[in-house]
Amino acid sequence: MPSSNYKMQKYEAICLILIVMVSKLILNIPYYIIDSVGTGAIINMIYVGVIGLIFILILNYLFQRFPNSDIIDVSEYLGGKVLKTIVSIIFIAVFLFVAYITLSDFANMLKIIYFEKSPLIFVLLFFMAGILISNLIGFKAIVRTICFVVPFTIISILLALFAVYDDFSLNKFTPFFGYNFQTTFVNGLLNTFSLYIITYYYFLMPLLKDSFHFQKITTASYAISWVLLFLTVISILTIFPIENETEPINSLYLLSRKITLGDFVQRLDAIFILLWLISIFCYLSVSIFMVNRVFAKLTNLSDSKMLTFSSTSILFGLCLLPFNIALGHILEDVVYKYLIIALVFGINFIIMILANLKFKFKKGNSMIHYG
Amino acid sequence: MVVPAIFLDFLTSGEDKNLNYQFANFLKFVRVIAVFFATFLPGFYVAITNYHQELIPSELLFAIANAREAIPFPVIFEILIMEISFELIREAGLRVSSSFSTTIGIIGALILGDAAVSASIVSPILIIVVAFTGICGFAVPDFSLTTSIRIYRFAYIISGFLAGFLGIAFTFFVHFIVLCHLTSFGVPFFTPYIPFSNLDRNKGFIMKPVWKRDRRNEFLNTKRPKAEDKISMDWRNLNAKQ
Amino acid sequence: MVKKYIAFLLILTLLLFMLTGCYDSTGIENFYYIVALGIDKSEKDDNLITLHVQNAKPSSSSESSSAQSNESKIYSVDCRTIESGINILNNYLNKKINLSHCSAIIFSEEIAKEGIKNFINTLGNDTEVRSTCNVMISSKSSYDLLDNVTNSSDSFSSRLYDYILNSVDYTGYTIDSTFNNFSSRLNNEQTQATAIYALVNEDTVQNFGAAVFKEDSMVGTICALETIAHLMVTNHLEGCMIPITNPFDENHVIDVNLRKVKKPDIDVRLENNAPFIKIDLSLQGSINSSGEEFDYTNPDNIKKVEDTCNEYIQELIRTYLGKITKEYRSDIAGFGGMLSSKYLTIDDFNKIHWNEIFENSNYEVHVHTQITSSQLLNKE
Repeated sequence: MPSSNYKMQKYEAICLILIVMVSKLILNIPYYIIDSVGTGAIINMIYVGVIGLIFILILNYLFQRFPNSDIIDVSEYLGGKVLKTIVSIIFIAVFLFVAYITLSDFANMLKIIYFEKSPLIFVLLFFMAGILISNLIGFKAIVRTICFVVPFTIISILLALFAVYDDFSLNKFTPFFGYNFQTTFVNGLLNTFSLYIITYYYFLMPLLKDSFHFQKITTASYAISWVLLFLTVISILTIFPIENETEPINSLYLLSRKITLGDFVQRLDAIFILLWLISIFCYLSVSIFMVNRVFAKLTNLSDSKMLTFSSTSILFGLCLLPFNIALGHILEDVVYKYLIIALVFGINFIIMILANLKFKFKKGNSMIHYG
Repeated sequence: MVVPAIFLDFLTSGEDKNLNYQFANFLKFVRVIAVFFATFLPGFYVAITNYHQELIPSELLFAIANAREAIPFPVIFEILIMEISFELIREAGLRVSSSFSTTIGIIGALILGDAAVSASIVSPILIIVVAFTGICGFAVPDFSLTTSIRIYRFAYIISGFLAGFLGIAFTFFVHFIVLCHLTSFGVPFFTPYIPFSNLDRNKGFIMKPVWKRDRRNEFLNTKRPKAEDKISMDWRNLNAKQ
Repeated sequence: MVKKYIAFLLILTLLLFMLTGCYDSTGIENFYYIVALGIDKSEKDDNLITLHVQNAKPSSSSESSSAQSNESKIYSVDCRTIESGINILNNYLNKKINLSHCSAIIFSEEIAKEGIKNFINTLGNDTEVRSTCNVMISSKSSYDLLDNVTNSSDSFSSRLYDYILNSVDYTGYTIDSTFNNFSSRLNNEQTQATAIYALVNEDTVQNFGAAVFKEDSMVGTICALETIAHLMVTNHLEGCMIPITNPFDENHVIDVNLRKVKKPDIDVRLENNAPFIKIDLSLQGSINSSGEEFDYTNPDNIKKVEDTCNEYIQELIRTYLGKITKEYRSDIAGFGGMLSSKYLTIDDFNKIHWNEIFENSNYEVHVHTQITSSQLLNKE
C-alpha cells in the first residue's frame, strides 16, 4: 500500500489549502467572478460562501465513517477496482490540467512582462527544475516550505488589497444585486468553481497526523480562503469598475502595479511577483505530489517519488502546446469552471453519499482504514 | 548545548543571555537583517538592474545609469570581480601575520574602492553594495552560517542574472526546501516554527526575560524539563512588600 | 542513486545555461529613460500624429563624463500610432526607449477634442507605463509645454513634473489626474473623465484648472476657481485659498484658507424624470489676511465672514455645476454613480439613460463654513 511517510499537523494542513487558494487568486479567477455577475459580486460571494460552507459540513459528516481514507479508498470500497481506476484517472487528469493552466497562464504573463525575447522553454525549465527537486527531496520539505511561505504571501495579497483605500467608495459596488436577480443567484451558482480547494479535502484525511482534526482543518482553511477571495473581489471591483469595457490580463498583478508609497516608491509589482512565484512553485510541487500519490495508490506502488520525472515531463509537454490568450480564456473561463463544478459538487459528492449508504445498509461493517 | 543545531541557535551569540533581554532581542533583529542582506543583496541588485529597473526610484536610477555609462563590463562581471576580490582579501588577511593585517585592509580598501572606481572598472554603487554585504556577513554571529551564506550568495547572483526575480525565487525555493529537509539529531532545522510547536514550552526567536526562563526546550526531550521554579526570585516580591 | 541525482541536476544546469543566451538581460545603461511624452496633431498630414519624448538628467552633479545625459532633450517624430513612433525613435537613438519612469503624458488641446481613447488604451496596454503618471492637456502644442518646462529650471530632473503636479495639495487650482484614474473614467459610462489643463504662456507653464471630457473627447475646460468647486463636490479637496469680499469694507478682500471637515453629503434622486441633486458641504477655514482693522474675537464678526464665505462658495459651486450640466453635459462629479445605489440591479439603472437626462439636473447647494482661527494674530 502506498504510504506518505510524513503526516501533517493542523497548521501545516491549513497552509497547504491556503497555498492552493492563493494560486487561484493569482490566476484571473476573481475577475471571472466579477465578469459574470457584475456589481452583484459581493452578494454572490456571500451566497457562494454559504453554499460552500454547508457543503463542507456535509462532507465532514460523510467522511466520519471513513477515517484515514481518501476519495480513492472510498471509491474502491463502493465500486471495487473499476470505480477506483476511473476516479484515479479523473483526478490525475484534473490535477495535471489545473497545474497546466496555472503554469501556462503565469509563464505567459512573465514572458509578456519580463521575458519578451526569451523562449517559453526557458521560463518553464525553472518551474520544472523546482518541482523536480522539491518532489525528489520529499513531501515533508514541501509542506514545511509552504508553512513559511503562506504568511508572507497572504500579507502581500492583503497589502495589495489595502492599497486601494484611496479609490474605495461604496458607489462602485452599486447596484448591489448586479445585472439582475437571475444572473446573480442562478447563473451566479456557477461561481462555486472558485472553491477548488474542496478538491483537496477529498484527499486530506490520510495525510493528517490526527484525523479527528479534519473538521477543524476544513472549516478553518475554508473560512480563511473565503475571506481572502472576498477581499480580492472587493478590491478588484474597486479598481476595475464594471462599466469599463477593458478586461485585464491578470487583475491582481495590475492591482499591485497601482501601489505607491509617497513619491519615490512606485511600481512594487516586481516584489509581489517574487512572492507569488515562490507560492506558485509550492503549489505546483503539491499538485505533482498529488498526481504521484494518486497514481501510486492506483498501481499499488510503495514509493511515488520516482514518478515525479514522468508527471513533470507530462506537465512540461502540456505547457509546450500552442497557447494564445483566446485559448487561455476558454480554458479558464469555460472548461475549468464546469470541470471543477462537475468534479467537486457532482461526481465525488455522489460517490461519498453512495458509499455512506452502502456502509449504512451493509451489516457487519467495521471502519475502513487505509493510508 | 552544541547539538541539536537549529537555525535559531545560529542567530544567537553566547553573551545574549547576560545582556538585558530588550537589547538582546534588538541585536537578534539586527542579525536577521544582516543574514537577509548578506545572502540576497547582491542577487537582488543584479536582478533589479537587469530585469526590474522600474523598482528603482527615478532619481536614483538616472544617477546609476549615469555612473554606469563609462563602465565597459556588464553588472554580473563587475559583481563577480568584486565578490571574488573580497573573498581573496579575506583569505589573504587570514594567512598573513598580524602586523600586515592592517596593510591588507588598506590595500583592499584602495583596490576595491577608490582605484577601481577611478579606473572605471566598477561603478560606485557596486562598491556600496559589496561593502554593505561584507559588513552584514561579519555581523552574523556563527561562522558556519557565514560560510553557507558566502556560498549561496553566488548562487543567487548567478540565478538573478539568468532570470531576474524568477531565478531568485527558484533558488530561494530550492534553498529553503533543502533547509527544511535538514534535521539535527532528529530535530527539524527550523524548530520551533516549522513545524509549529508550542512556544510556551520551546524557546522561540524572542528571548524571554530572566525570570521567565524556567523551562528547558521541549524538543530536547530532557529528563527534567523544568530548569527552575516558576517564581524563582522570591526576594523581588519580598522587597515590594517591604 | 545519489550519482543519478547529481548527474541529472548537472544536465539540467547545463541546459539552462545553453538555452539562456541571457536574451532579456538588459543593463540600466542600455535604456533611454523618458520623463514626459507629448502627442500633437501632425502639421504635415491629418492622419498622423507628432510624438515628442523628453529625457531627464539627474539633478545631482555626477563625475561621469557622459554627454548624452547632461542635458534634457526633446525628440519628435511623425507617426501613425504611439508604438510606431517609439519604434522609429528606437531606430534613431542609440538606446531603447523605456517608459517606466515617464511622469507625464501630454496631449494638445487640438487632439484631445478629437478623441484620445485609442492612445490611452494603447498606453494602458504597455507593460512599462506607470499607472501613477499624470495626464495633461496643453493649451497650445505639447511641444511648447515640454520646451517651457525644460527651459524653466537649470537643474531639470524628473522631479520637476512631480513638483508641478503636486500643487493640487495646497492650491486646489488643479486636479490629480493619474493615468489609472483617467483611463478607467474614460472607459466608464457613469462618470466622465477630467485631466489637468496646463496653460502655456511664452516662457512659463501654469496648471490652470481642468479639462472636461465627454466620452473620449474634450468638450471644454473649467477654470481654477471652478476646479476648487469640483474638488469640494468630489471630496478631493486637500486645501485651498479663496478670496472673499470683506463684509465690513467692500474695497478689501479677505483670504480664507479652507479645508474639508467631512465628506460632502450628496443626495441624488429622480423627480419627474429629471435628476434633483442636493449637496451639503462642511468646511473649516482660517483667515490669512484681512487688510484693515479686524477683531477676530468678536463672534458677530466671525459669523459675518462665515456667511460671506458660504455665499461665495455656493455661488462658485452653482457656476461650476451649471457649466458641467448645461454647457458641457458631462457628469464629471460622478452623480450617476451615487444614483445607482438607489437601484437594485444594473438593468433597472440602465433604463433611466443617465447620460441623456443629466443635462436636465436641478441642484440645491448648502455650504457651512466654520472659521476657526486667524493664524497668529487675534486682532489687527
